Amino acid sequence: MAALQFSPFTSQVSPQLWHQLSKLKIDVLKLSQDSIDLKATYGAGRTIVDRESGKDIGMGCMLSASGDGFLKDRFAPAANVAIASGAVINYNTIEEFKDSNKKALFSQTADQIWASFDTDEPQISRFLLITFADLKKYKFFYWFAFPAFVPADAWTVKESGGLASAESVFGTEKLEKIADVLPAHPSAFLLKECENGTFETAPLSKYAAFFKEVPEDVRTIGFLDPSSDPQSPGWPLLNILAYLFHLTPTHKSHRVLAWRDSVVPAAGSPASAWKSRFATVVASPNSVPGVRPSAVGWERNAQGKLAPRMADLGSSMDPLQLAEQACALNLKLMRWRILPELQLETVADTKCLLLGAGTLGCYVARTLMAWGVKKISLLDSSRVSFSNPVRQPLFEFEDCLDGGKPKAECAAARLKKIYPGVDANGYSMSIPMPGHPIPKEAVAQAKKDVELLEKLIDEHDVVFLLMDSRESRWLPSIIAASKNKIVMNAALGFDTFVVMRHGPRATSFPASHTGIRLGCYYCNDIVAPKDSLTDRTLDQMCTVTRPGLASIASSTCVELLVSMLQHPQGLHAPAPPVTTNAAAASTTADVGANEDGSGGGGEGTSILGLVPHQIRGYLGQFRNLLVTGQQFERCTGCSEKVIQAYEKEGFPMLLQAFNEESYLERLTGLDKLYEESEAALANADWGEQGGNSDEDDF
Amino acid sequence: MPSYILQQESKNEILTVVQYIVYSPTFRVPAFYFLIYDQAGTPLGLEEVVSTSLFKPSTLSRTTVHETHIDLGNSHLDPTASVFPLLSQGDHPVLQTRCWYFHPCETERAVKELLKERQDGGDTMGLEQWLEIWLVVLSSVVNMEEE
Repeated sequence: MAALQFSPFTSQVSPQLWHQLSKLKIDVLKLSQDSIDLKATYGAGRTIVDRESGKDIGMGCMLSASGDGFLKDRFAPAANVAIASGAVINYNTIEEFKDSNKKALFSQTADQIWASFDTDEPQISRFLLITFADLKKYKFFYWFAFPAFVPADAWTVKESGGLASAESVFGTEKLEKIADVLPAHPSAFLLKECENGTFETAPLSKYAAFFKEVPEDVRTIGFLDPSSDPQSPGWPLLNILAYLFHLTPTHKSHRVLAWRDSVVPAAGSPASAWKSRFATVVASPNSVPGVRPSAVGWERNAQGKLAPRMADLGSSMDPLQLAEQACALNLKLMRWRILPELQLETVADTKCLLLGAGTLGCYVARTLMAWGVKKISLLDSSRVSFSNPVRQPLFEFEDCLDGGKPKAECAAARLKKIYPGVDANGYSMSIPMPGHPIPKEAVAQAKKDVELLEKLIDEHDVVFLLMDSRESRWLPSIIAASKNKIVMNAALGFDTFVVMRHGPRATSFPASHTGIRLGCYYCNDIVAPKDSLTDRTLDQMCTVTRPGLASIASSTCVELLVSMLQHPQGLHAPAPPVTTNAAAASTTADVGANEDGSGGGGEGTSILGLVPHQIRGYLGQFRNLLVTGQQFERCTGCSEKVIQAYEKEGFPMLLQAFNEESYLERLTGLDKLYEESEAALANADWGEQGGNSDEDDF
Repeated sequence: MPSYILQQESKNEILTVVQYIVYSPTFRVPAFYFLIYDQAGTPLGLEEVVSTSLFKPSTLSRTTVHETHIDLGNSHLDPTASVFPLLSQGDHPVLQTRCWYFHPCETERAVKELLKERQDGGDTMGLEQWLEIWLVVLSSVVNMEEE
């Protein structure tokens, strides 16, 4: 006679259980550690066919717990499942969870089961669940216990072959009849065949009355068996046998039908389609009735150890994770549906430094966040003023009160409010500029400011020049050129804008490079940047612009950056080739004017389209013009003379540029250019124009 | 381990999939929503979802999942490729729980193609037949057989 081996329960929890537990803790329990009732279910053991090997794989012996189990009025289990009642104790800290007196709790539960054996409704599958819900990280630690009474000597199976197929014992016809009369939730039942060939069931507690006239060798005990192993019955059988032994100790052997056919095989199926098993189970002759046997049943974890399990629901409950997933998914959809080659991570990982947190800065920051950019730093020297919030979408009315919050920090904080996952920082600082001499007492601070600016530019990949003056863009341009960083420039007129990317510095090109080297913001200047701010009238100071212009320019600036980032050469991406178009060229006097319309896939295009050097917008005509500007070798903003002087001398050179009006012109040789052109003019041979001496000279 | 307890051999992980068919009022077609979680109730991440046996191998065999995107390989160029490559995540419209779903924007087109074939063959098309075809299209992507 072989000893019976029972399949222990494994828990199967649905996420709703954790959602519901969280709600209960927040709304009801709060800090209470009183036990709560929970109903769980289990169904017949299942196997599935492995698609690869064709073998049957058992699905284990599972007890399923879901959120509905907490809610008495919503708990509506399907037919053909058994219901188990349990108690949940939720601890408030992980320490209390770990230190809880598990032995005592387990005994208590086992005692409850044993006590129920003296009632009409024995609680065969009562369970215990201890939990700790970490509602900051949405991690749930839990441990199930399924107490079952184990006799000192094992139960054995009378039949030498162990568990047999129920079909071989009863036959298909009888099994079908049994299926017809099963109770709705057949956790355990008595079964007998009546004279007319039908079957009848009754609760276990009715043993004496139900089986009164029935010979012992046809009395059958049935139970819904959650095990899928052909030779091993499920865990509930242990308590069923313990109960029966307690109820009718004189009966030491029971014919057991382990019911596993919740879905009755269709008519005409082979005998092997029936899954139910049968065995005659025999108690040890030494077993003593009336004595509460010892109980076992803590669930082992996935590694087979006696330890708790953990569910991590951060991805579906943590609002921060939900926000992150949703934003990322939005971008992914664009990629999946339209542009599979789009490199989103390249954009997201680009660290952006925004110099200026005004109209342009706010719109640029928003658009960068929409592209998933993770690190955004803003730099600005001023405070939020009352005219700002309507035009600068990161500020609100409250930010203006009490003198106004510092713009840079305020903008950064607002970005975090919009999307908590962004790494946003604000720095209040003035950028020293040429044409604005620095008084002696302010030099130390200016040095510090320059150092901070150098550090910030170093730590980022892209510098956006979004300030409201020409000369303030000079210093960051030099530093960024020196460090080979991407510089994106945007500037507004009343109804015009220019958006451009600075070309890479001359020395970053290989000697073999042919083709245009793209210029910077100052390349078209023949004078050094000077003071344009003092003595400005009010309208000039506030850079009055048509309100719609800033968002257009800012969005254009960000999209130009992204298009460039998609280009394999990045910063070194060439501009699209010049196509001459007489009608368009006549509207602009710019050098190297381009016309929109160069085809995709040509030079100067990325998968997103063109990567122009400059975009000039004319809102009055709702028209953009693409411009390519060449690098000017005597440029005050990007020529090697200036950059190398800065690299060699550092702050003192910068100080000279800030303080001495003609320093940059002398350094670059622009002053010579002026002299050269004066000389050329003087030497020009303005010969007599024959016969029309009354025409004006120009 | 006591002798009366069956030792569970370490085996395949058991995942639970809950599947829903939901009507999408925007696109006016059915949409396939599903939840997939492990024994602890932890919902699966994207990378795990695509590697489960829920999907027919051909759907996602050329797919590699990276941290920020899913690379479909060349399947978007393959005319016979699944019309449900757009695995998305969102809230179940009724239950409000977080669910995976196949975005229904391509559904109408896919079903119409098969519908036309059947119509040319003489069948009359009612809503029931439409739904049948939708299930056929879905089952080219999702393993729907019961053992």
